[in-house]
Amino acid sequence: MKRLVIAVLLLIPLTGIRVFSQSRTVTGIIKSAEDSLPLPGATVVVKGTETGAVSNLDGFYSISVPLATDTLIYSFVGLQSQSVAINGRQTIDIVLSSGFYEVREVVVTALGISRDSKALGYSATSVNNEEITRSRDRSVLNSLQGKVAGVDISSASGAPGSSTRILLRGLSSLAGSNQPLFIIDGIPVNNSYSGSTSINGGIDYGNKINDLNPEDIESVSVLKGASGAALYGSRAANGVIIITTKKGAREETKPEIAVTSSMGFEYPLRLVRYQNEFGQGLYGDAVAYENTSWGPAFDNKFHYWGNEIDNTLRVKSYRGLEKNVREFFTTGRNYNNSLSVSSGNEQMTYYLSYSNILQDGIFPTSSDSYSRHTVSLRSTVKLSKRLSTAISVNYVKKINRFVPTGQGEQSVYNQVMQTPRDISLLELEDINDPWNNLDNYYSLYTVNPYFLLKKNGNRNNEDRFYGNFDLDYSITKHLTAKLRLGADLSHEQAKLWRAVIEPQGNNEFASIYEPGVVSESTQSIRQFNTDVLLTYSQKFGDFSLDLLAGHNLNERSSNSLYAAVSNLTIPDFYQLSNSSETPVADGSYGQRRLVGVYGSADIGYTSLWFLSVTVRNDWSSTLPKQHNSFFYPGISSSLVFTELFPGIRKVVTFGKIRAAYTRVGNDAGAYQINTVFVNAGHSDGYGSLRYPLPNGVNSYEVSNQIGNQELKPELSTEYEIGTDMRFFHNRVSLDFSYYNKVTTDLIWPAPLASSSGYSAKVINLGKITNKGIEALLNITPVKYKSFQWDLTFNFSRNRNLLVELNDNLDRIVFNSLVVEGGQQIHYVGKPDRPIGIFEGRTAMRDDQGRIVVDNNGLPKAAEDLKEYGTREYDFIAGAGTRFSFKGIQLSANIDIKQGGIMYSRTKDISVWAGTVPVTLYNNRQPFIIPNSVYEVDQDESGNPIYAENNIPINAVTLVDYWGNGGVDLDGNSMVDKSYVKLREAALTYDIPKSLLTKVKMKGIELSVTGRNLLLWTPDGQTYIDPEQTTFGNDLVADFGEYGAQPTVRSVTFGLRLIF
Amino acid sequence: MKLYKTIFSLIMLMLASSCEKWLDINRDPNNPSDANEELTLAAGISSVAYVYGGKYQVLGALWSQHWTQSLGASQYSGLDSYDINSSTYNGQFNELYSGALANLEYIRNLAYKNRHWRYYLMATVMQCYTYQLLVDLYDQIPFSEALKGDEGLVAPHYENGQDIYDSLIARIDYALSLDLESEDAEEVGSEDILFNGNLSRWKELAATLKLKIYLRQVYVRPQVAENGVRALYADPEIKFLATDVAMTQFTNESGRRNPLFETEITALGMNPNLILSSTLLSFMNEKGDVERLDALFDYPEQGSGGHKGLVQGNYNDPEEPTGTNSTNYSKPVLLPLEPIYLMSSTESLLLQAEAIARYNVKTYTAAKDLYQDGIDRAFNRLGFADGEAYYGPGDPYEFPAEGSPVEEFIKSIILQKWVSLANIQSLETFFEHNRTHYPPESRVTAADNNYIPGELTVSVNNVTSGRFPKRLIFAETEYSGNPNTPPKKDVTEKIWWDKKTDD
Repeated sequence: MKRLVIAVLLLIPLTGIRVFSQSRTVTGIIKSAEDSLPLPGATVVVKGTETGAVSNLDGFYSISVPLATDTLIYSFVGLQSQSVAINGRQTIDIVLSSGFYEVREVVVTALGISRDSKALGYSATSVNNEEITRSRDRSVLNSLQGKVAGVDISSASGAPGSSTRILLRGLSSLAGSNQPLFIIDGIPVNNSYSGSTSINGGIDYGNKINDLNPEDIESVSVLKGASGAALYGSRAANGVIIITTKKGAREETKPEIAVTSSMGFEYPLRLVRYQNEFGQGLYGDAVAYENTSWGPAFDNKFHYWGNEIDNTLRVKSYRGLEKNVREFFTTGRNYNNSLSVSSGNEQMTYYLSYSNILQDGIFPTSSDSYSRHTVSLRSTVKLSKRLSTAISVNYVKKINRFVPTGQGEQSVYNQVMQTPRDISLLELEDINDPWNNLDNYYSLYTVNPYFLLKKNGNRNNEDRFYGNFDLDYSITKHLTAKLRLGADLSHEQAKLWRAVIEPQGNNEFASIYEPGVVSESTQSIRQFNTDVLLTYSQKFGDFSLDLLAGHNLNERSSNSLYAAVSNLTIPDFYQLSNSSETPVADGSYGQRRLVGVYGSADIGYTSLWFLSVTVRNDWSSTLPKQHNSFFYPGISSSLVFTELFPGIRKVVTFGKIRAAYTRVGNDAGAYQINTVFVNAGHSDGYGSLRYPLPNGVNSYEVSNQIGNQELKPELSTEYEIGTDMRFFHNRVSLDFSYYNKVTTDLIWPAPLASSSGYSAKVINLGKITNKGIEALLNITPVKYKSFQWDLTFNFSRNRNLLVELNDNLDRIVFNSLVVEGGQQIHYVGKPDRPIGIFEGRTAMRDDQGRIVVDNNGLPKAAEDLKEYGTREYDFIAGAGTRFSFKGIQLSANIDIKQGGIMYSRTKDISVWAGTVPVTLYNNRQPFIIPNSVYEVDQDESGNPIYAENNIPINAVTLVDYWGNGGVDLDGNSMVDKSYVKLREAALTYDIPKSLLTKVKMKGIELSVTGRNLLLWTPDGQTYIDPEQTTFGNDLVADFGEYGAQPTVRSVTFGLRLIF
Repeated sequence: MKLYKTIFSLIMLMLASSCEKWLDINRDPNNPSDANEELTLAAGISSVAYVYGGKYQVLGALWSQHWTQSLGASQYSGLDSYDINSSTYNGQFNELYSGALANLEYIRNLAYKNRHWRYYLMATVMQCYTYQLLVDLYDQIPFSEALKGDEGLVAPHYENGQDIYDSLIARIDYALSLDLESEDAEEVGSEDILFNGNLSRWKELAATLKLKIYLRQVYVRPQVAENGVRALYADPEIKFLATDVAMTQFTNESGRRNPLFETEITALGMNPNLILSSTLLSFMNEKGDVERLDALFDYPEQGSGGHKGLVQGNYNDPEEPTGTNSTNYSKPVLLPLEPIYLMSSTESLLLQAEAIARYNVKTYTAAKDLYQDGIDRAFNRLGFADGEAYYGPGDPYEFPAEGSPVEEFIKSIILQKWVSLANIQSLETFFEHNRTHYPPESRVTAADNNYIPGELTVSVNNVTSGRFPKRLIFAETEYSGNPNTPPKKDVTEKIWWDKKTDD
């Protein structure tokens, strides 16, 4: 039960509360159904008007209602609203009950306007503050996981501060963003990703929407389709997430102070399941300097190991260490504190908050850490009868440190995963120990992970301001003008350093060399947005009419600077000046602007039927002049059919059908229409040559990308139909949508054969469709006095299809992992297939399906690549349960994703290194690949003649066999990404109000929350948490993980005090 | 609804005109939209050098058996077993076409418009050099329809190597015929990273390139080759190169080193993939060419004394003790500041020696001098005064006596090229092997008692049923982007000028 005073502003129309002259007064007390305690801050609105009142601390309200009125609507955020016929009564007491998980009745829609959800012709879901903060997670997005139908949210890793990606209704842009647009209090904000998706030291400093303090959020509305979003312009084509922040309540007489504090502990959720039968070595023999577990079987006897120092060798028992990786990780900790003060009266409101988070992740040392401070000030002031203003200023300070992912000597986890099964990682911790230092570390091919943790590092420091300023002016009773200015300015400064690694002595011939690097970079991203709006609202008998016209200017710009030196003169000293080499320096600037004009008309007929028409025209700076204007309309409607058949209300309490149709245009990236010259440089994928040359010559090359003066915007057309029904007095409710979205003229840098002199041209091509269903079912099986049991289920499936490309292309490649003469994995789009197909090598087979081996008995790769599967889930589902009894609430929810595959480097490298059970096949004894043949000769026409294979895989070729992926070749490194997760379980206890009055407190809440407690994956997927990615937060993110560090399971204890 | 739409479009019109200017910001501030010849020439040249001196050197060295894949690593095991596909060297094909050739084409077009004939000559010669390289690797390549993507021609047809060769000669001749010496001709300076604007050197390179193009055709079009060579020697104005054509602008910093060093040593680590092939080792040992051997290869870091090479392609040697790696073998000396030789003086001098030996366009003595001079230059490059001790009377590299059969001269010259261009221009020796069959392809394995030192032995792990590689396979990006790409050819299929028949 929420006794927090929540911004009732949501329900109070901007024009304020007006009192009619011919009226009477109705009074009463509003209570909560859960604990029968009074509800302060609940609203009462006269149906069909903007007249309303708010209950006081004792739940008491008093409202003047016009004589003609017959119905009052009672609502409270998070609870079910109720319509009550007055029937001449002067006193009406009301009990409001919970709406479990969702704010049913009030949804913040486009432009921050609250609408009764029944008026909506499209699907929108709201999640309130309680749901969000119960997670005790630093990230708003993480908190939404599994709670809203049709929303695919995944966190990239368990690293502190890492990013979260969200996808609504499938992928619909190939090169552009597929992330929804984020709106805070009416203005668009930046949700860009900071980091690097390099496979040689990937870094994830998180996405910017995770900068928000969840405690500041009043509610989050998810507009899944393009419909609800037409008014926000192009970027809303992927859906909109509307975040409404807390404001001070108007009816508070004295300030309310809320303090929340929590402390959490984090543990690795999923580590690779290792084998414990064979240890360090190669080809079945013990090799002291190997980083693989292809050695002899464990014998539990004492053996020498590692390097010899001063004629001394160490000895240890040769046995598998089951927990050597698990014990390497430490317990992560996080501390989260938040303080807010809010108050208000008729003339003004304010809300002031401060929060901080300190987090240290599961790697030893504080190399993986996150700290965030936020300060927010929001205020509304009524300047005169007609003029009011709102202001919001927010500051975020964020410092991230991230342990790089990937391959090679930059990634810590890469060293950990390759550690032979008999070597204790914990014993490597002292990097000054002569056995553990660079010169004598046991392996020639890896580095002591503790050395990397202690010596290398990085830090990203972000300062961000965002906020808005609104001015509202009531021109007449029906006509209002609004000016809204918004800005989002962030500045990040990142520094990265890597120590010199140049082993001597025993490890002189190690394959590891690092000249030492220090780099510094800054990035500033700015967004300015202005809207001028005119709204007109009028009632004509049973009809209501709302008109809106607006003008929007949006500018986004960024600039970045980068400088780096390598080959450090003084080791362990990280300054750009600390090198005799010429620094690499670069900078770039980007700017784009958009002008939009839009309008909407909403017509309502009683509470039966609603129609909304929207239009918008955008002019974008990124498109060629003749194509830079694009127009898009939308229409939606809803019919509350229970109004027509009041007789069915005993069973169907409420029923609505809705339909919507929208088109949305989407512009291109900046600077894609002209061909330019680029600073010269050449690379072979490993090394590179840069300009200027040492003799001072600088040079430019014709860009490999041809500009396109004919570029047009991408166009999405979406329709959706749906229903919202509640049964048995809201004990059961069902929300269902079907949508079909078609996107054409996709902007994509289409590859060209380089013999044309170019490698790509940005063109419009192809067609994508996304069709799907979303269903949300809420049931309250038991509700008896103050005990209530709620269940919720959500289910969605999206069918994505890249219907066509163009005549010249049979596939487009989003990402590839290609090793010369080895791995060939491509993540592609192909016509008539879903976006994100995985292709890779497979074993060659003869016409009888037998595997063809080479003269070592190893499978040969087939000429053509095999399609292994797609990124797409078959379905996403969630289920939740909640028990509440007086002040106690126990809740849990699970998150289910079924189908789809991903690449896992964690599996790839573990199989290669022989550390996992799959490599125990045939107990590592020689074997002939079953059902295999080899080429003995060729017939006259050059076709191979095969004979039964008799070449066994021996101890030597066994390593190549598994290193190349066994008989599946590249298929071996792709894993099923289905999972079921116990996402959240929480127990909260609100100390009864009766006990608090003595201490003059409004509320005390104690909670314990577990996140990601359990993970189930299909048989054989014993390697990773399939949510992980190291490839950013858009389309390519679903490629998979390249050595991502484990995700975490957390338990958090929280306390909330309200004064 | 109609009225509403009319009003709406009126408002849009009004706003549209005022915002036109505000929106006009799409000119890329990060990259120039214009560049002249001076700004683009160096990149055009260095792009070729980067590929030729980098990954092409690895390819050439593996396939002409200077180097082989080491044990305990596998970067080049595919190449060394001839297990290649259309992805192999795709990146280099792209660098040459969309990098080098496109940039040089831009310069050619611009210089032609500006009548900057010196730039025109330089860009043309560099382009012809690159096209020949590609023809020799791929047999057929896009040529007259290539590099026209900006005009909408994105699927150029492939043309026969022979036709392209003829066009290259015509292009070089045309460029040389232009008014290069006029007083108001443009000055070319350090952007010419090969000759610092020295026009004479460019003319020499043009002539030597023509010579090379003709000689490459001696077995497929003997008459064309002979006529071409004779015409070159008949012109008293023509001089051939006596100096190296090399890119030398390197310094020991990341991203500014010799690309082979940068990739193989800096990027791929201290456990190199590339070690001495026993084919080259056996030849040099046989000839007592030990000074050069010591200069070209480092001794094994482990094991006792002497150079050690691995039998070509035997990187999975089951006889080797477990864990053996490259430290047991000699490794090529790669240096951060080593120049990239696009055409070394040794190559040029030996080409000239061959021309004389074949067609008697000059005296026997002239041929002998050129041959010996070529060897001296190879020794000079490695820091020795000359190679006299090796080509004097009775020495292993002695020039055949006057009147010897032509084939004897060719054998000496090409074998010398094979040894002398090791580590720097191995790809050229691969082509010359395919053209002249020197060094010969051994019929027995390296372990066989009848093995003749220096003969090429097919890779132990070959996937070609014992056949040698002859070419690359058309690039993957061509197959995906150019429907006019010819069907795949096998790596063992000979290219058009590979016609010599052994008797």
